[in-house]
Amino acid sequence: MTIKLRAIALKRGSRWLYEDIHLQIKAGEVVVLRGPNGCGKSSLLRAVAGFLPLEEGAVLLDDAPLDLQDAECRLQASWYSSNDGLNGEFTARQNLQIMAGLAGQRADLSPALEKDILGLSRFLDIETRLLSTGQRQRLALSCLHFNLGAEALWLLDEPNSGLDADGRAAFEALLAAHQADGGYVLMASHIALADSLPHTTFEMGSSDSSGRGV
Amino acid sequence: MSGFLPFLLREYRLSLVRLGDHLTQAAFFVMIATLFPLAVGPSPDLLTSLGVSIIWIAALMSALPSFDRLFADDYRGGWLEQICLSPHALHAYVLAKIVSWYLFALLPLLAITPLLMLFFNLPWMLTLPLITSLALGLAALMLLGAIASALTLGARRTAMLVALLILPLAIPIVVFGVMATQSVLQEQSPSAHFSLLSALVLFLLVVSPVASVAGLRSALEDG
Repeated sequence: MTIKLRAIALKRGSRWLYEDIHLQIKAGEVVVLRGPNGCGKSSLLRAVAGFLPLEEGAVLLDDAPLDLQDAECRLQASWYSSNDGLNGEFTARQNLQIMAGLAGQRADLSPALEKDILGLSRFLDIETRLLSTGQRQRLALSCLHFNLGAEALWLLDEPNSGLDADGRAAFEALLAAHQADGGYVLMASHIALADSLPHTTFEMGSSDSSGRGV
Repeated sequence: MSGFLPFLLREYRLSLVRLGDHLTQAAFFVMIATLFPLAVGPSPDLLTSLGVSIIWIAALMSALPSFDRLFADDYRGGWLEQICLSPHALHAYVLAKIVSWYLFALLPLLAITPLLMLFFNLPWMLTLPLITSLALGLAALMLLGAIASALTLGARRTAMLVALLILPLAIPIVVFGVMATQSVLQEQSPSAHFSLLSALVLFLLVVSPVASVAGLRSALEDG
């Protein structure tokens, strides 16, 4: 299966972000959106997720329209942005349980904690609001463990901005595992991924010109 | 409905964390109702005739300010995005939110009501009709509040706006609720008023989740 973004045009308010984005994500491919602040990376992610209506164009899965919010959809999407969906009042473990339940895994945390590549065990029983930015980001990213495999699409908005070198390496290991399973990744990031991780970079121009795939 | 129970469990845990807020609301209810006997003066007849209406309005006033927070935290925290992309329905989340908010924020008001009845020298036989009518009325108010809260997401300073949106729509709830209790006081059958109040709740039970989900979705477009 291939995810295709065909001739996408997006508006924020009355301002056109871009009018003609073409992009493909194949199974096992990591696509990284790059570009200056305000060029519409996050908006493109929101549009693919179906939060932002498209002005023109379509998001397709093998030439059929892709609606990730449809419960019958063949792809299961995971979403990460700085508004990470975690609740500050809960402990890290409780948040993890809730996220596992949301992914339909009956509060089974073993996929996230078995190898614990993101190093959660040090702060599992601390309230999430007391975690540092990087720790909180590790916690949110570890929820991706609940959605691995060939039917999983990860939409990630600046997933590695708060991570230390160690954390970035762990995050890349997670991406590599997902890639090996044939999963899909579309992410926006201004921090380059390691060269050892095969990925495609998609440059998006300034706010008034549309980007072309590399 | 897919996901209702897990959502309810999350809301239950959140409500335990927020128990303080909910109890503050109950204390506010007592305070408003207490001010009336002090302002009106200690005439037992006057207080008895006004009591039901005052308790109703105090309940309304103490319940209203909390509604703007109903979905706001989950909206800002990105929880709604997670639900939309999960196999579970946004509809189930909204229902779970309404049910848990009703149980934790509004039922404490009913528990205090018998105490307030003492302040107004209301006869004990009014306890059941007053509490039943308040239970139905607050349920209807809760369902209205969910719509208003979802529609005002993303706007600033929403507490007053939500109250302004709900109050005109709450007029029939207050009218039928107060009349149901008053008719018991006047030894008439309250069943017509209770039927109308129940019909209102059932109608809103169908409309409110659908309208709230639509409001949440449109708020996500601006997110």
